[in-house]
Amino acid sequence: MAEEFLVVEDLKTWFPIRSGLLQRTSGYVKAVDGVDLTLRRGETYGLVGESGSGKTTLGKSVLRLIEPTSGTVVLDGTDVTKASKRELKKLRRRMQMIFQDPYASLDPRETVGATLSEPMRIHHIVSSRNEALKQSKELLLRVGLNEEHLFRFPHEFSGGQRQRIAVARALAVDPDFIVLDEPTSFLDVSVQAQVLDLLKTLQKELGLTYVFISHNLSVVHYMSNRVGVMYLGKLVEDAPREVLYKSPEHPYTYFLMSAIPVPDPEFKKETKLLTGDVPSPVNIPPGCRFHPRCPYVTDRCKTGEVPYYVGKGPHHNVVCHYNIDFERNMQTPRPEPIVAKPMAS
Amino acid sequence: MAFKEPPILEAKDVTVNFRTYRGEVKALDKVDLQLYKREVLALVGESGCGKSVTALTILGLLPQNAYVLGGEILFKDQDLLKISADKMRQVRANDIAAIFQDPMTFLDPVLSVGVQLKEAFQVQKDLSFGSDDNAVGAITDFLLKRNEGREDGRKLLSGRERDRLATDLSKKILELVRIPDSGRVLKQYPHELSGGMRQRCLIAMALARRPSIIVADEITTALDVTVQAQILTLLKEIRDSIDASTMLITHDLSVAAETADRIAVMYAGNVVEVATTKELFRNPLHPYTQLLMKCIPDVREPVEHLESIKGSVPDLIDPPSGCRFHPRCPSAIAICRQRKPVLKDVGNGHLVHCHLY
Amino acid sequence: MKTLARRAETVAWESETKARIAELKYAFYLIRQNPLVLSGLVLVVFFISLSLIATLLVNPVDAVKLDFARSYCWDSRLYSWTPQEASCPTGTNYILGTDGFGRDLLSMIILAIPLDLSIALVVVAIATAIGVLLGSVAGWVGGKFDEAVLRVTDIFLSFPSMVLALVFAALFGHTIQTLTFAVVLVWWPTYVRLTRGQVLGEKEKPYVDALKNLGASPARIVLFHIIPNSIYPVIVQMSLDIGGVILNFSALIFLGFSPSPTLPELGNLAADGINRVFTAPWLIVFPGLTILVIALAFNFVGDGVRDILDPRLRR
Repeated sequence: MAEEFLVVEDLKTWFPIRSGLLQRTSGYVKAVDGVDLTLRRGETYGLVGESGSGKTTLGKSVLRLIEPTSGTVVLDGTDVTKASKRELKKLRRRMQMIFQDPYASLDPRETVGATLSEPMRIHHIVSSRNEALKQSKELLLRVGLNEEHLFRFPHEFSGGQRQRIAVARALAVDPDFIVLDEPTSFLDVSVQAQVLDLLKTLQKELGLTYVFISHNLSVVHYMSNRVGVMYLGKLVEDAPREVLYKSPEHPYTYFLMSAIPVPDPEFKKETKLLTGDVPSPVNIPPGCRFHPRCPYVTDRCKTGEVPYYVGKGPHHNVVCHYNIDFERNMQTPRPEPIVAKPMAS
Repeated sequence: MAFKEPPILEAKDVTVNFRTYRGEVKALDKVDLQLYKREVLALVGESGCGKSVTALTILGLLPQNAYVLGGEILFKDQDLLKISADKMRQVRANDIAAIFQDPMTFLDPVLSVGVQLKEAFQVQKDLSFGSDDNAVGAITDFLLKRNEGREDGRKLLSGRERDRLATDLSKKILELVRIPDSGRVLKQYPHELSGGMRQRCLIAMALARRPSIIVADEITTALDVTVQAQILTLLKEIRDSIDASTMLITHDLSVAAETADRIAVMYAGNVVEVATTKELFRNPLHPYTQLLMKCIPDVREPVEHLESIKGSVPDLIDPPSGCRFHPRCPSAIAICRQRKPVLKDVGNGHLVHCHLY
Repeated sequence: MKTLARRAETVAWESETKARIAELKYAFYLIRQNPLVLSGLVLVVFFISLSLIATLLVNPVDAVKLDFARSYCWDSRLYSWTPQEASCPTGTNYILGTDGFGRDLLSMIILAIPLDLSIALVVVAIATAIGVLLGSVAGWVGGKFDEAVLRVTDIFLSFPSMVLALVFAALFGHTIQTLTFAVVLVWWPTYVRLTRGQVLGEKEKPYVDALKNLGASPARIVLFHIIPNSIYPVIVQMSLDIGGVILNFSALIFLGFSPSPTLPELGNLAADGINRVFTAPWLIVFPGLTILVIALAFNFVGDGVRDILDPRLRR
């Protein structure tokens, strides 16, 4: 347990819906509705899910960019959720984020040098402009750019280069932990490969811990050690990478895996199609959140929270009442869970 | 899908430039492409390769600052690059349909889906469909599966009958694209539908005029993976019933692998390789294709390190001499810098644009 | 020398210089490309220079020298107004004719330009300052403060602009200062609205999140990032408003709130001409034209300035 670098416990982030003349709260958008996960130092936790799953909100809540409604986040022993403003500012140096849209995550009016120097100035890491420029130059070289780029504006760069600048900016404060929210979704495949490799190299060199959020299952597979699947605000399955991809146990995970297009036309894929559309977190179904779309649904699934069951793999948590044989379409109920909380890796 | 037949659309030597403040962007450089009957051809490439520009050129929808330097696009005995704007509009209405990436921008937000779909059908008074080309009988038979209204060839319809016919056709076509509860959906507005539904509506609108070619530009890029799987499966299913050729433009080779019969790979304004899907994956010949395949993380084979292509996409204002890929090509030889290669057929309809062959 | 040497030691000095030169070159390119901006720039420079040397060209004493014998006369060889021709006494050379007090119209216009320009610039500057400050805070903070600001802005905007200014002038007298303030009252709400709209949009962007994540305080984010990124429509509005303010001010004076009937101010001069459109048309034509040209010049320049400053619009 001492190895646990990041521990998230029952994290909930709800957004009130206000309506009516008096702006009464008529309900909540339960974007993140009780998530537990743990991560070891130096590893990557892959978070997958579709739109509405809450994965981006989870990433932001862990960093307190969005204030969580309840629950705790403990980073290397420090409780992030309870930190005061001043403590939080110091904590921010340790945890950073890379955003999805390279075109909007840099201030378009600032030169790259200014963008990189600013965090250094905020945290008083440097004492002069010269020093800031020197360190910024080092950062740029580290991400594969060069000195000339210091004085150019973001719009002069390609998407891949901008993401590198974003990485450099995150590194400027010397963090331990980075949340990457779809960092390569907007990039071309070859550029994506470069950026992903850069991220992996940096992780090894600097001992960074990542939470990698993406809807692209192949990319998550490449980057992660452990993967969690989110659906409507909760983690429905959480396991080491190979276990999740090769032997998924939750039906939603299974559908996700079979939907991944594979770059091989001769691969006979059993494409099980999921019916219906991705739901929104405004009206969460009672009982198991997935039950309206699940072909294996039974009455038991429609009421009551589903606890964490133990899956077959090591450190494998599944939120489903049934053991399902997807090939033969058979299901058997699982024995009651022994532990109330998910097992860490 | 046969190669013995002539292609229904053939682009030869198409060259398109864009005028920008920094100079002329040589977006398409002697592009050759053939689209055969009833096939799905995927046009694959990264940003800046010219795949969207190719689509826009075929559709006649290039922006103001673009101009065609040369080449021809043959379709039904016409050269689409030389016909008048009016004729091109007719072609777009009846023969070549387009579906683009963002359904929200292509659906009018203040009109219900039903109104827009009915508009696509444009039922005329005398039961033609707004053009003399699209035969009355074909659509009516196919969609309504009945032969009313065809006595003596034409029957004059009143306004209400026309509207009812359009509504029926709309409902049928929504069912064709697997939208449940079509009657209710017709009354809904675009923002009330999910991304997948909107994309299906666009597909329905594209199919309304029974086109011979559908150009689909990155239609699944903005969708979630399960929805993308649904749309791709839908495309495969309807392909047989609608008798049209599809040009599927995508940056995702895996999507192409799943859906296409043939794949054309583009790089920096050139078509660099064309082959049937199976052949392309079994035996990729062009170095760019080979590298591209290595870049993609494959779930079945975890690797420690992804290959990438060194360098970056060239600036098309001043593209590299000779073969545009040579600065990044691991197998480049002297001639690659001096002369542009020619698209060569190495057998089985497998074409490569490379000096190595 | 010491600073130069130290400069050369600065990290990446060459890159920085190269980049700065490239920026300047691009700015000049844009100006060259756009003949409107260029002409606007030329005119603005012209007007500003004229304002600075106005007292050298025209003896201000002349402004007060009234000579009713020469009022409303036109003697210029350049053009003859028919049928009503009032010739000036011989020996005079009034290129643009005279006004009601017998003063040379051209000199009056030359004296009026600095007055009008400075008032316009002052009004726009104050309105912008209030507007941007209030608007950005309201947009950023939201909630009840935002609501309050919006309501106040709405109240001001719901008055027809002239009525507001008139009431103020009537209440507080008509010196140049009070008139200036009256005009400010009319123009500031637009800037609040503009800025607030931009701020609302900017604050949702990922780079703001990134800044928050990096530990930047809200004040820092608003001052150094959000306001600079929201300023472009404000700049365009400012350039449009210069002309509008002059008109507004002139209108006030025209309606009778003039500090003094002999004040050399474009509106004042034109006001006199309204009643004599057919007998002395030059009195309204030339001051009016001057207002028009000033407004256009700033308008063109405003466009160009935005294009140069906004990195997002480039290339």
